[in-house]
Amino acid sequence: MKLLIVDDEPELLDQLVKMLSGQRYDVDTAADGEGALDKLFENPYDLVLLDIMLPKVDGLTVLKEIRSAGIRTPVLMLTAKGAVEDKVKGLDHGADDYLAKPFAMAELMARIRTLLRRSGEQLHAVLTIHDISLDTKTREVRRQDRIIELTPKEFSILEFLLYNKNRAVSRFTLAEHVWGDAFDPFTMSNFIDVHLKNLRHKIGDSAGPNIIRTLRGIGFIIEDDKS
Amino acid sequence: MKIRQKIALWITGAGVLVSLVFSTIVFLAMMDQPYRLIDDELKTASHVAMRLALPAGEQPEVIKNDNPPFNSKQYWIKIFNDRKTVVYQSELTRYVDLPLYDKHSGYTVKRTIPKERLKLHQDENNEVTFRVRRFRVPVQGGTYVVQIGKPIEKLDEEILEIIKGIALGLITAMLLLVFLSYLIAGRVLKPIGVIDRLAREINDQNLSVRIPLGQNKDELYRLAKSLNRMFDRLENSFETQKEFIASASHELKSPLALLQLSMEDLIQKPDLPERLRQQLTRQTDIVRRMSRLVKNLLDLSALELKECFDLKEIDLAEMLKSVLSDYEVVFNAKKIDVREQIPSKLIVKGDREHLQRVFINLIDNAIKYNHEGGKIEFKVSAKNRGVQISLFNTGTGIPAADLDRVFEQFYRVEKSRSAEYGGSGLGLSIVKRIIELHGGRIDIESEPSAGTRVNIFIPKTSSYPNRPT
Repeated sequence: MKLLIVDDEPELLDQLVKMLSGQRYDVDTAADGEGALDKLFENPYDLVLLDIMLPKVDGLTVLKEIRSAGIRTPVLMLTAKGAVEDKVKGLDHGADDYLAKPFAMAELMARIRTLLRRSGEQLHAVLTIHDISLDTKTREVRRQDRIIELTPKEFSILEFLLYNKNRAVSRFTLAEHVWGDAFDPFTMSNFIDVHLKNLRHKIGDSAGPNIIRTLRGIGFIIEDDKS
Repeated sequence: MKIRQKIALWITGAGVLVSLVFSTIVFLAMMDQPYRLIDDELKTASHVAMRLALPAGEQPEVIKNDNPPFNSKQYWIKIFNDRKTVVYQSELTRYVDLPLYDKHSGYTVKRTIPKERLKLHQDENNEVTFRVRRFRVPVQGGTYVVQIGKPIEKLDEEILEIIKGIALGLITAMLLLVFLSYLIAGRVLKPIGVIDRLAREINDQNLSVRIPLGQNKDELYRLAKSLNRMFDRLENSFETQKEFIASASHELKSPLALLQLSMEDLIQKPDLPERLRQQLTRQTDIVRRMSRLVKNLLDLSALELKECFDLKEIDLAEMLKSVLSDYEVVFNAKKIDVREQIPSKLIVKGDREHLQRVFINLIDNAIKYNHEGGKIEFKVSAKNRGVQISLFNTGTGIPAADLDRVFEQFYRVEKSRSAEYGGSGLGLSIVKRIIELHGGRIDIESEPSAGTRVNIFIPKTSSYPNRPT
């Protein structure tokens, strides 16, 4: 999977490269709009992380140009501005998703994986752990062959944890993802346990192999089968 | 008082003053007129009297030989010779004596003659007014003095008539002046009204519009120009503030993003001691708290500029129900009894994301400051011109002294609450601003230890103009 990250903050760029390379992505970077356009017209990418505020050529213009040139690579807009207007503009210009800075790594990972899955490969639409499978397209969850009925919030929690397999996800990040950032995650993170309890019960986790582990003082994690 | 009325008043005042001066001069002139006529008459009469009274040889030269009609009974006449001996006196002198003053012009004397004795122009007190003149007439060998008087009618009455006439004229003129000056003031002020209307049309949505300047470089041209200059400065400061928010967002959020990502990266390191990992997680939460504060602060600034507002027809009822269902787990966990009265459909014109934020912030507060097993009541009703929403929650309540200030930025009822309940202290400021931008009203009433009620009114069609896109 080849990603292009476009951001004019060198340190942030370095950090993102480091973290995404760690997730076994092939990462390329550009520090301004011109560089981004050059690279996008030269090489095929699977995904672009595009900052809106860029020197030389701004992000929205880059987006317009590649879309009018017929490049259909999924674009995740990153912006420091939180204004709704920017979000609407970005999506209007052909961005696939939008994430406001600062963001949690887990949230970024979930967004990236959703976009990569959406852009084609059916094979990757199903996330699995142990004998549990979650289909991101049909929103169906199975344990072995038994279908498990989950509420939208429970589904969202399981999906998020699976997208961040082997990474600890804090309650805060989870709350922000499940309820959206209009809600105060400080209030909501206190109530995430209720959903987790129900979720664990439904997937038969409470008695079984302990798929979702609680890390005290940190959050939650789903880890690969070591057995 | 309106300027139009003031101008009318000034013009009227000036007009009345001028007419008063003019009338006084005319009045004084007219006062003199009857006396001058009588004085002339007395002069002629004196000449005739001399001719009749004196022997032919002693006729004065100045007297012409014509003979105007003359009735000596009408006049009081005494003619003296050089030795002050009376050589002629008319009949009237028997009834009354008039003093002889050494005056060149005529003079007026009042004497009492009973009406029974002689019928003249007496008033009710039997007083008769005489106009008297005295002439020195040189003749051969000496000078005669003629003293001649005539009873005159009451001139006071005539003067009163004149005054009445003038007063009537003045009042008519004044009424006419008030009317005309009001019309004139209206005409003078009309261009100002035009400027006012144009200036009012220029609001934060079309700050680049300017008042068109007229052809004449008159005072109104200058006024329009000054206003336009003011709009220039206003537009400039608006732009500056927008730029400030944009760069502040960028400058503040980029390092926060970096900080958060590096800390999260650290937390994932497998060889990290568990205690350190927990500590780092707590610190990451603090960074995120700061991020939210920055976000809220910048959102509030953007709202002050009425930025990012997108009015559409939305179903408020559906939105409220969805927000409430998002909180269901919280209500259950805190054993809060929620009662709602929400109609099945409620269409208003509003900004979906912002209105949702209003209700989230309010419900969040209603939960935070509620006690376990408390109550929340949500009543929504369609009114004639909008939607009335009332949200009641049991809980600690807000002291009366703090009620007015809860909408202020960073205001907290108890400073200690911030640590206990979290939040940025901006929630209610944002709520208020969003409601205001919808042309609505919000107020809060509370009784300590009983509960708090928030009342919101949102008009069906916002008076706030939509952004031109």
